[in-house]
Amino acid sequence: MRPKDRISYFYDGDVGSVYFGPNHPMKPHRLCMTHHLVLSYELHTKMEIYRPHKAYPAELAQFHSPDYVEFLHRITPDTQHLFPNDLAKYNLGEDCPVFENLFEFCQIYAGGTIDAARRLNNQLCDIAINWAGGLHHAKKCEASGFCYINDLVLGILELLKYHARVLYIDIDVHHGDGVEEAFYFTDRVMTVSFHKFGDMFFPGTGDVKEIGGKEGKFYAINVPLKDGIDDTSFTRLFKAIISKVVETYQPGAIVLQCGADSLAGDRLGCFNLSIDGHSECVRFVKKFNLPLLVTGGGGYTKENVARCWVVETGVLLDTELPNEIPENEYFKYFAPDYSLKIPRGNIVLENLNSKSYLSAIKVQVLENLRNIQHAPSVQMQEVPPDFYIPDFDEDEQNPDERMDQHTQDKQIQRDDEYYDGDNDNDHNMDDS
Amino acid sequence: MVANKDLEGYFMETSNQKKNDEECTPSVLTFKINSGDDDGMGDVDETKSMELESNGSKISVEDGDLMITDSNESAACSAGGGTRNEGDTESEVVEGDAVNKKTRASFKRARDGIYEEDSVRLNWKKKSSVGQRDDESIGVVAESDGGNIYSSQGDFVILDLEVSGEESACVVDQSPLWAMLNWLNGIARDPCDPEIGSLPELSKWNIYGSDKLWKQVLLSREALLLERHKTLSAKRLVWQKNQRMHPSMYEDRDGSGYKLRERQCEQSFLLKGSSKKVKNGLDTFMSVCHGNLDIQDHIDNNIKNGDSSSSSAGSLFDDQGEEEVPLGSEFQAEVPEWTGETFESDSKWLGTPIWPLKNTQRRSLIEREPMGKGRQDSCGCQVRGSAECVRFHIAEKSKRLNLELGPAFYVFNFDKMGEEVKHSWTSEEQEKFAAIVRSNPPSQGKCFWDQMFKDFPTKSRVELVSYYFNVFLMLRRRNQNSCTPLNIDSDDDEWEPGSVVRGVGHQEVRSSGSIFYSPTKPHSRYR
Repeated sequence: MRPKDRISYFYDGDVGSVYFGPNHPMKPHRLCMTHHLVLSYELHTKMEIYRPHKAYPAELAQFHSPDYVEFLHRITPDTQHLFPNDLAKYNLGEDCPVFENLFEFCQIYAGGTIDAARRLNNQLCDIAINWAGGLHHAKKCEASGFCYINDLVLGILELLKYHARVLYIDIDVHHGDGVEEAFYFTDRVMTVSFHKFGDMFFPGTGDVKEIGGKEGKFYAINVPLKDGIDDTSFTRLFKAIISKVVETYQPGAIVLQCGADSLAGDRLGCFNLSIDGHSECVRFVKKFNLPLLVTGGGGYTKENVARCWVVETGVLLDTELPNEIPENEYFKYFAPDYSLKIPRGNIVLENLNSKSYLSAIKVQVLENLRNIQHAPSVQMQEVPPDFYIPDFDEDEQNPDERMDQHTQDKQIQRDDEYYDGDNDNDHNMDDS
Repeated sequence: MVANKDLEGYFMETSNQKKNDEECTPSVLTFKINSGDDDGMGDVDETKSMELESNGSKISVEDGDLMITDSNESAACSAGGGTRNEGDTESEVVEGDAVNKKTRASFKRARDGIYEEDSVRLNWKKKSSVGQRDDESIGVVAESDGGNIYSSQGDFVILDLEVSGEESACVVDQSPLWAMLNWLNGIARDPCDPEIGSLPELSKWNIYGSDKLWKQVLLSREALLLERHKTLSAKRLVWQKNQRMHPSMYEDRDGSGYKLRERQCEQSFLLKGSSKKVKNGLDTFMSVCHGNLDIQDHIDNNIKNGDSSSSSAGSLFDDQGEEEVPLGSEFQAEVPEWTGETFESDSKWLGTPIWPLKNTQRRSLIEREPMGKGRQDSCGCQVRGSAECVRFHIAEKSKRLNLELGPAFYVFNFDKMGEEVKHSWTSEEQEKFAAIVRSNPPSQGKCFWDQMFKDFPTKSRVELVSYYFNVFLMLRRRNQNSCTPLNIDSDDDEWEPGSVVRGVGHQEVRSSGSIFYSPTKPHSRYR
């Protein structure tokens, strides 16, 4: 039995004063609430908490263009009217407003992810958490979707110094386009994103057809989903795909973006996941026992964000939390039940993801995965000795038992009506 | 030589444009190479130009040149051009086959005079010439400052499209195309032929105007690639039907890019900047503008995809995946090759340890609560769950954390959290704060922070924001809890006790490319 994982948790109290502006849904204050809840549940007793260093411009420029970083550094709400061209060029001003302490905010959340990656590289911890990070839309030369600096790309670049292959998983309701684009043409990073797609939902990319290019072909996976997906459908799909991905790609480290806007009741999202479903994904990824960097991301209903991430902190600590939220400074936010469960709203979302649709997506993704040789031309020692692939089927869960490949394949294909065997490319199978 | 109507090239207006004279919504235009008259080479008397518009960017073609215009200028198009064939008057959006080997060959065959029916979809705008719709073909010129598209709005901008005068189809003499086709043919034969000339550096592509043949080729290619999406969609439909998939699966997916364009038409999607985000189906076009695609690479891809037998679903979509995402040093991270050796790690900058405390920092030993402890069912309070009970336990918890965390408590700014914050505020100040928020509702486009910063000169920004989240919003939340416990939105900056609760779908109108934009959720229903 593996000893308990060492968890490093990153938090900077200064995020509390960050304010995007009135009526802007991104509220870093949710990080304060999360942190407060984490401590109220006494989760700090088994974690190490660090204050990240504020990332230097030079570190940010490891990915971003120096011009862009410099502009972010210098621009303020008072001077922005003097630079309309640059604002437009860097896509600042609408979704990504210029606010007070913008650059410092970027330094904090990026510093957190970079430090997290470094701690993992130095094997000072097994899991590193930075709820302030996960801003996956930022591009090399521009801001996008409330994201200015892409801390995930920076963290992955850091991990790539020690690992041949890094797997990026994104369960935010929005497509992880910034990260995917950064690594679209390389096979050293595999990006897997589960997101809402269609109806002009932001950012508009993330179709299943986007599979990477050049050397990175087949190293980008997109799982486009429709409104209202529920726990069962989502976790089933997630486990089927991720287990195959890890088995095929054999990454040295995993970065997991846990955007909480995929939860039901989110202000901008349109899924129907409960916190149980969302955290089940985190639990599943943790089971691979690979160095794991966990970040936040989207999440625009503050209370639910805090609920979700405290539960997931608990999951990473192998601690199940009681639903009764302990009294704390933000207690009133959790009315009326003061429970970890998302309050049932007045709106019921219909699940537009039919079984056949999800099946088809899965088939396509798994088909694309077949094109990847196992860990091409890279040493296998990146894989820790106790690596194993857990059984994804909830009914027969036995995480300690290693399954042979044949059984594994059988299970993966059990729901899959399209294949009889590995080499079957016949597209005329019935969908029953 | 060009055969008579074998190779057709003419510009046709779209049905959208026909409808709307005042405002030319970005529309999709079918463009065919037209051989023109019998002699195949119409005379061009007037300046011919055509605007190709895609997702808001505009490219005007004058005398066969392609220039990228600043779309902030209104695009006026004037007519001009060669002869037009009869039967071209009808507007038609032809969703022909996508670009594939066949279409590539069409350029070649065009040069050789073979009729090719594949059409290219381009967005364009034009202004018809005066009178003479039937006899004279009409071309377009774009008025603009001719400036570089990138200077103003980032990747691309959208013009406020205005079309004055009548619109009609027109025929453009294909002579500008001959040069381009010739060049393309030559480079296909021998990419290294010095006579053909070489492309400048990738990053400099956008500097060049469309007087350059290679630039024209790139732009045309991109326009053709848009067409390819349609064909692949069609092919996918067939495959999907065999799979007996749910029809809604392909509705969404192949429609994503298409719908974007469509909706742009509908919404007169002309806002600056916001178009950037609606890149989906038109990334290819934009990437050409960026000049980021490698033409040889693309030709290779086309050959590969055209020839290879696709036995798996993945290969149907290969190209599209590649084309959607821009490639280049402006977009991708620099990922070094893996050598197997790891870097000497920087042992600094691993974060400052805050918790657990070092031994010297421990001030007192207290009995630790077990990890993961929730709210207790019973406590010593008189009325469990009453306001007093809750307040008491909050304060108790805070004290406990203070003792336990020691200096970490202050590092986390826990002393500036919650209702504690209001202790440094007088009741007059609190009243004033509330009044300012009330009198500056966001629905009237006001931002209360402007007044807030002015009226509270002694309070720092951090203090004000802290008060807002920790006291003001908490109070609002408390009121909401008692007034409307089932419909709570503490982020509703206009909520007042007794006010009508806003519907869930309410929000500021945002451009459709924005992350704020969420189409109404038609599938949800109120209970």
